[in-house]
Amino acid sequence: MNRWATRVITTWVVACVVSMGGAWAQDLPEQLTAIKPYTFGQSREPLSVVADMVKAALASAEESQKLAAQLAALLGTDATLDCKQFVCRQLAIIGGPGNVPAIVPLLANAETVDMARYALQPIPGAEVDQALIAALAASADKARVGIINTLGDRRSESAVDAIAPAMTGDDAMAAEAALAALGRIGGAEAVKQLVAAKAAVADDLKMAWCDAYLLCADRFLKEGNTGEAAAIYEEMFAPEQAQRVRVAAFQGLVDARGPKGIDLVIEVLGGGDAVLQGVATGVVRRMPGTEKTKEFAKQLPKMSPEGQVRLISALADRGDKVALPAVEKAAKSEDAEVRAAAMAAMARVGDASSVVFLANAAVEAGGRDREAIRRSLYNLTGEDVDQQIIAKLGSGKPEVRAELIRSTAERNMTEAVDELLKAAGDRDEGVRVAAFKALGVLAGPEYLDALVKELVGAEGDATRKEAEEAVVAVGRNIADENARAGAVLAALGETHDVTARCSLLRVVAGLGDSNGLEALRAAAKDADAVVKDAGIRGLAQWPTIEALDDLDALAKTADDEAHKVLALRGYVRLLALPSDRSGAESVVKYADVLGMATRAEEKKAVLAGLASVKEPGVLGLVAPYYEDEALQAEAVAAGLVVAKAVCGACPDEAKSAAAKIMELTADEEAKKQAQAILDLVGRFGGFITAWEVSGPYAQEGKEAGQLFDTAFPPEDPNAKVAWTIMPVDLNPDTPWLIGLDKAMGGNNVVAYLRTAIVSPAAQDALLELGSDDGVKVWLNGQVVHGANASRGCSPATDKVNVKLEQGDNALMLKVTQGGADWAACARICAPDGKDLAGVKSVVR
Amino acid sequence: MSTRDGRSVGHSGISRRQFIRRITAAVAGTVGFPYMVPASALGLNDSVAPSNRTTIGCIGVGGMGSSNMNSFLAFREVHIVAVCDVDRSHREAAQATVNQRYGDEACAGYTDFRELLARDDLDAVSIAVPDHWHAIPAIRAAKRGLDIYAEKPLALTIEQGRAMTEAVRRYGVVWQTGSWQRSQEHFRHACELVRSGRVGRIHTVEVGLPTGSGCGVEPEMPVPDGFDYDFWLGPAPEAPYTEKRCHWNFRWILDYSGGQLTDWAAHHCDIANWAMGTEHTGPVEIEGRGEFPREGLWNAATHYKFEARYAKGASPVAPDGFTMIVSNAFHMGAKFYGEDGWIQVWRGGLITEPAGIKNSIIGPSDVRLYDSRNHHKNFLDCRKTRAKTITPIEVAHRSISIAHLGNIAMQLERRVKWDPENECFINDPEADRMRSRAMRGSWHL
Repeated sequence: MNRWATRVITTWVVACVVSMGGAWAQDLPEQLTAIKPYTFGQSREPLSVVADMVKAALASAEESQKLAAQLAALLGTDATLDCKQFVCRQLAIIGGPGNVPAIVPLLANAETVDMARYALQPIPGAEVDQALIAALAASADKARVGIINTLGDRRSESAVDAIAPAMTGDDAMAAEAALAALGRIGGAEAVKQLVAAKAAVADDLKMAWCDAYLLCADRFLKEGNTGEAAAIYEEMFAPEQAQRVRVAAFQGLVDARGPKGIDLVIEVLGGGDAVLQGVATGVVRRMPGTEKTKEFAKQLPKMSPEGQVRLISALADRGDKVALPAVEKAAKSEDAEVRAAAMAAMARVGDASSVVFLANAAVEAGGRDREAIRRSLYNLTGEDVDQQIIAKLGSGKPEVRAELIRSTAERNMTEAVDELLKAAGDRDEGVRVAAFKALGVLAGPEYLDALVKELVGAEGDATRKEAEEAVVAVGRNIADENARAGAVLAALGETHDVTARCSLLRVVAGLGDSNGLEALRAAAKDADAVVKDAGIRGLAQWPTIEALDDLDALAKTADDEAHKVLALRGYVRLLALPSDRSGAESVVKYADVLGMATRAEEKKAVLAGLASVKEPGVLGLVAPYYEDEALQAEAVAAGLVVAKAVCGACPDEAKSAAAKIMELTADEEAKKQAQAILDLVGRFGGFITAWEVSGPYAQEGKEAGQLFDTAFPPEDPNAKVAWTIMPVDLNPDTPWLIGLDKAMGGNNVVAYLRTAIVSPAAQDALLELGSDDGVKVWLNGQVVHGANASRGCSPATDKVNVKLEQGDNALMLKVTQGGADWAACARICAPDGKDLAGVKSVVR
Repeated sequence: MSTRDGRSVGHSGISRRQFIRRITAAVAGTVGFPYMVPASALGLNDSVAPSNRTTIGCIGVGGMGSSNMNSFLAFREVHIVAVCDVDRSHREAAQATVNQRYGDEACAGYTDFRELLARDDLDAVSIAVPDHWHAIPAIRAAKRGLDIYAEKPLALTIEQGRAMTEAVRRYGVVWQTGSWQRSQEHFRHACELVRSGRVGRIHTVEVGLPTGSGCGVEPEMPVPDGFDYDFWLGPAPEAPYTEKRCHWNFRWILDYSGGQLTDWAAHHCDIANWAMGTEHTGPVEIEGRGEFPREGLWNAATHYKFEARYAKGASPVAPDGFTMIVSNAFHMGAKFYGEDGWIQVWRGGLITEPAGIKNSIIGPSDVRLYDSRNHHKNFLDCRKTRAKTITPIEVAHRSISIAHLGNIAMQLERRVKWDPENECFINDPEADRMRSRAMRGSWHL
């Protein structure tokens, strides 16, 4: 700071009225003196205390003034810069004109000028403006620029004359800031100064000058002074101005001219400037009025294809139907892009008369153009559009009718269902197929009988296939899963035609209504080979595990080899569906089916299914196939997936599987993954990795902290709880981390983890824990630790002394999750932190 | 209350059927949302003529910035000519990616975005910088006449957002905000269901956002080699370097952002606004509580819940007004409670009560919303038609204003009243002070 500057500012301060705060400032409360030595890197708690005081003081004008004066007084002390910055930012909230004298000295110091501005900028009143203007005269470089910025942000009209000279001074940064500030301040005086400085402004700041000038025009316009605004816009719209300046001026001028602004828009649309045309189409979008739409539409033929595309898009956005004739004409343009744009725009400007036009156009067009035209037909608005579509469904070219039928589904025209049912029996297959497709979407369950009737009488394979799918789709809309197949089963009882019966059986399988399962079972034993085949295929397609035993039996006893294979495949598919089976039970069933499979294809399917069972028993099951050339790939893949998943819970089994894969496979990628598993197990480092997990659990409206003491089923020894093996973290640096966010995820939830700590003797031990967020711990049914926290996970954040019993010790953790990361880690060791010999964790 | 024929009637005295007819008719009768000209009309299907190319410079190429850059690189019509980042490692990695894509060494690298903006070969910029840096480069790019794809949340303060909005309007540039959920079909469908009155009049909207985290007291550290820390701070207050201040973690510090609240409000409050048709207005009253860490470096709210009340008529689907409740205590996403059920949407899905509503088809007589299937492509297409993008700047400004208003109310620990038309608080000079912040040193809007 230069000496002159200090003198000027000091003089100003002395000249200021001393506020009543002076008395309060004599006696600083201890909370304020406590923050004086604060520097970054220290505890922020003392600052938080003061911030709380500020918030509390806001409730009372007197308290606010008192505290603000005390805070301001700190600025004149030997408090640290970090403290003063904090104080200034509190004064930005609570400070008033009376505090200005205490803040002003900071303006004169390069280290404190910014913090002074933080405080002063929001404080209302002429005192602040005067102080800043006084400081401006005495400051230099960045400090000067900052003060100009603050005066600009305050829209300080009294500062215009003080700021103006900087526009043409040597300091380029100050000149730019001054231009921007005058633009923000606006008003006649700012305009006068800008005009006066125009010629002298440096060349590289001409754009900044234009921006400031335009800002002033915008302000005039906003305040209703359209004359002054228009004068500036007209000047800036002159052809010699930079294009982006003309763009801004053009928009302003259109608005300033009011209703007459359209003339300028029309002029620009008809002109040759593509950039201005583009902006004009933006204006077209926001100028309301049908007459204007007509005027805009008239310009289309005068424009380049590129311009037409833009204007058509804008006309579409206006959504005014009077543009339809012009858009229809453009839809026949020689230019493909114009045609496509016009077709698309018809969705918004078209009406009932466009229905057939668009349907015909969709038939004639190809590829993506067809999709765009169809989209227009689907989106076409207008009261009579749907009626027109229905009226045209019954006659005309089949291709066009098929297009119209498609549109009924996309347009959600449920009132078209009766007509569609008629079309479902049409002579043309394309029409029939389209009709069934639409019926599948639109028909309600009340149409199921009629649809089944159409299905029974359907002609041709393609029609039959669509009809079957339509009945399934409509049937599935019945909420009660076991009330879906009534109509189909009734028809099955009355129909003797084999083809129709087979169709109905396929539909029964697709509906998955338990009442239909018996029909499939009966059909699977039918004397007619075709019906029997349909019955068995239906069972093989059955969507729920109800058919598991049927398929098991068929896979073992069916006469036909193909049926055995179908049943086996179906069985394997159903095995992978969620069920109440335990992992171990699944392993037994997979082992059984693996024994039944004779062909490589089915064995592959079984091996692939085994990869979804995260049980150590799988490793033994797939191991024999590591050497089978035909099945090695699936076996190795399953072995690796399962070994990875269980390596925390069963490290020995996982290591053994990985070593065997390393030895037997030539696949480099598989070897790499096997090695990664070996490496992972080697890095467990005494942490507990054998975990089962249950969750996530949540309760509506409760946050993580509130869930900490909310008991979920795992806390009830009598509750039935689903536990699954917890996979280890695959990050080689932290394989012991229990990554709950990856395993299940969620916000404001909890999960439970359990394991058995096996100790060779009763002994004292130390449980080291880390958790993100909180953790509660039970050992042998007793709560031994709780930390209801919101924190990150680091090993040994919590240390808990525990007593282990000889044999199994049941350990359970409850880990809460607020948001973001969710993890935990635990290690059991001797009370002195050393390894505990002979103690291990296992999943029981 | 019911009418003589038994139909239920709400406070505004109109039946549900009348209500739905009214909202759908209102949409059909006005200048609607921008209608997209298909790609085939824009020369995007075949080889790209030089005149159809979009030349882009990328400002900020860290996490989101490089993600956006890679998205743009996938378009044949785009040519990225320059990247800018204050962190040399980010900058050089981005340059290498661009050069590898084009098989040359032509991609220029800058530390100072002003140098990038000074190039005369740019059509557009992609901006993905910390929130405290959103306004300045965006306004400067608009002044250069460049179209802008920029990351959410729109701005650090309400005033900065308004200044950005005005600059974009003034210079007629096309703007896309990175609130990409709008270009996801299921989010649009959910909003269309709400807007089409499938659950009747809406009375409450719950917006669920993530819980924040605190961190410890952090020590001052040496600035890493290649990182222009002073430029990174830019308009934010002077502060010593420490690792947990910068890059991804800027979000948790109020000098640079607004925490999980602003980071995610720009997605889920945005969807709530879209569904409610309140994209050009705001609440009139805001009140709530937040937990701001008292200790450590990070100071943005970790737990929060505030209510933003909207006036009668603000939303076409809430004639009696509605309350938007924003909190980390809810399931992530937006949930709309109406007189006939609810609709809940989040990144992972869409569920409704009654369940069948989810699958109902939105026909032409319903409210169909702007259909974008690819957020970056939507920007490129709109560059050509000069139509508004699916997330124009005014809309983004209004979405993030909800979060700013929530933060202000929670920091003041009292109810505040807001005038959404003039964007100022009502008789509340203390709250008004928090609409803007002074910028450090020579930086200004």
